[in-house]
Amino acid sequence: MPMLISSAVFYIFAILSVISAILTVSVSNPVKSAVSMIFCLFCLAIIYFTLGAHFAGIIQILVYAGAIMVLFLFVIMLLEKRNNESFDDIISAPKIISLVLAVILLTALSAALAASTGHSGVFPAAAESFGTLKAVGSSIFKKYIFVFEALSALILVAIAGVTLLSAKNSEGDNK
Amino acid sequence: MSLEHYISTYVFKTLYLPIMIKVILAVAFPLVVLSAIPILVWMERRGAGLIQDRMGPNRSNIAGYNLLGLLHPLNDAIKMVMKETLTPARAKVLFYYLAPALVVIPAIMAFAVIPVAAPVEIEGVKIPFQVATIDPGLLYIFAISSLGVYGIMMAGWASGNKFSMLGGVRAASQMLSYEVVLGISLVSLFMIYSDCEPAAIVEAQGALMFGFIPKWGIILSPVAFFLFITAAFAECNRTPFDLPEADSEIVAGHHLEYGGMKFAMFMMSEYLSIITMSAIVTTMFFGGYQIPFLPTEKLHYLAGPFISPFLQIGAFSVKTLFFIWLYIWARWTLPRFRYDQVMKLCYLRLFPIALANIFITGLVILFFKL
Repeated sequence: MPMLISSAVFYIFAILSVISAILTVSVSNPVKSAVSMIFCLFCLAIIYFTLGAHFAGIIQILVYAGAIMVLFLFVIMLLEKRNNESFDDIISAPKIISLVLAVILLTALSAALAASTGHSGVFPAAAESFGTLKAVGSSIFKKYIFVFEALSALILVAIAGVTLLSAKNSEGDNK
Repeated sequence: MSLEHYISTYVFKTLYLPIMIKVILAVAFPLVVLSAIPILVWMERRGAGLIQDRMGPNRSNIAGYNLLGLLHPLNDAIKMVMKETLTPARAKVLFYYLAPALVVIPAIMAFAVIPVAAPVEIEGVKIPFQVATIDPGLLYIFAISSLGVYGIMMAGWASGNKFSMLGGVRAASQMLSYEVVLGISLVSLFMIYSDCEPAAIVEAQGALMFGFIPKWGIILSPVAFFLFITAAFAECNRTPFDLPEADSEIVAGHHLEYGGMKFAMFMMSEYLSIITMSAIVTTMFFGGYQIPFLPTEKLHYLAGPFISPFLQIGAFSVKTLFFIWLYIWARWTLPRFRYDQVMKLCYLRLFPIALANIFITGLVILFFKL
């Protein structure tokens, strides 16, 4: 019965995430697009939950749905009333670029799918500690410590850069 | 007892009964929390009366009995439901109607990981008093309550009113900023108890230090408590941080254009987040459901598995009610901050203190092997 419930949850939210992902790229209203993207991220988080990766699911909601998309929506709502006429044309530069990118992504994904079909389909069961906070923490701070520190340095540089740029721009306002 | 009967009982006890218990808990928790809202409204209005040296609402009655004003929330509810539904001419209709729901749903969901009593075992069936026991525990509360900001932003934007928009923008920036402090202030406690799951943290708080001091979060990490309670006030948009609805500047902020039950949903979500935040403060800093100096095993031995959960729920409720009262007390005592003061307090004061607190806690744990 628990298996039945978790697969039912998986299929419901898998379908919902696909629908909301299609809406994200097909709706013309930017706010509606952002909201369907938030819903898509939320559905993905629930799929992580059904796979037992609670921590990844929580972080998905906390960081992507709860923080990054808030800023997206914030900017869209503040900069309303722009006539984005370039998107109304049948053929335009942004549409061509996104079409090319979509074709590249589709090729890469189908190549990956084709490469994985040789697998027997039976995967070894995940360890008891899979997806727990302690397992994720120890793999970040032991196995991938160098990558983690390199990323921290990258983010620090980005923060310093943003601070410098915004300080330069607002100099005139303060004095 | 035949083998078949034994097997069917076993399957029922291990497979179906736990699911049924979870479903009952998942229905009971939101019902209890929602029905606490009228009591909170009553506490707020009578508390305001008490602090301002007046009576507070006490006129509404049934056959002459006013029950200390407890009937006012009932009247309020009837009034809210009966009101005419108005839609502002410039509103974006879909989002205008979606926003109140998006505010209330996360506020109800956030309560799911809070334990209100220790699990008991009756005839081999374990009954937890917590809807969901998940490993990242408290992070779930932060994740879900961070979704609440969408409803407020959307309400401000979709109302088509500049005051509403200002309120929505203020709410979004304030809630995003204080969420960081809220999360980081608790990291020192995760380090001390080396766990992130509320039930495990509450169990750890039942132990005694030096034989007579309970190992509560407030004693082990007092700085985190003050950071958390400040950020919690800001996160609920309560005075002195009620900038998003500051009546004297932007009329009523994000819910200016809402009336009737739609307005009531914004108010409900505010009270729901007060209840959730008070419950987190109780759980993390004041021993949760633990009755002081009476650890769970001793209580189960003394009172048995049937009565002790109720005693612990009582202890949890008393502690939580105290912090709810603290919210009300602060609202009618403190004046509102200015907007830049709120932001400076977050990034220039609370955030560095929270980081320093983590660092010092780490050093103490490292050198004293706590």
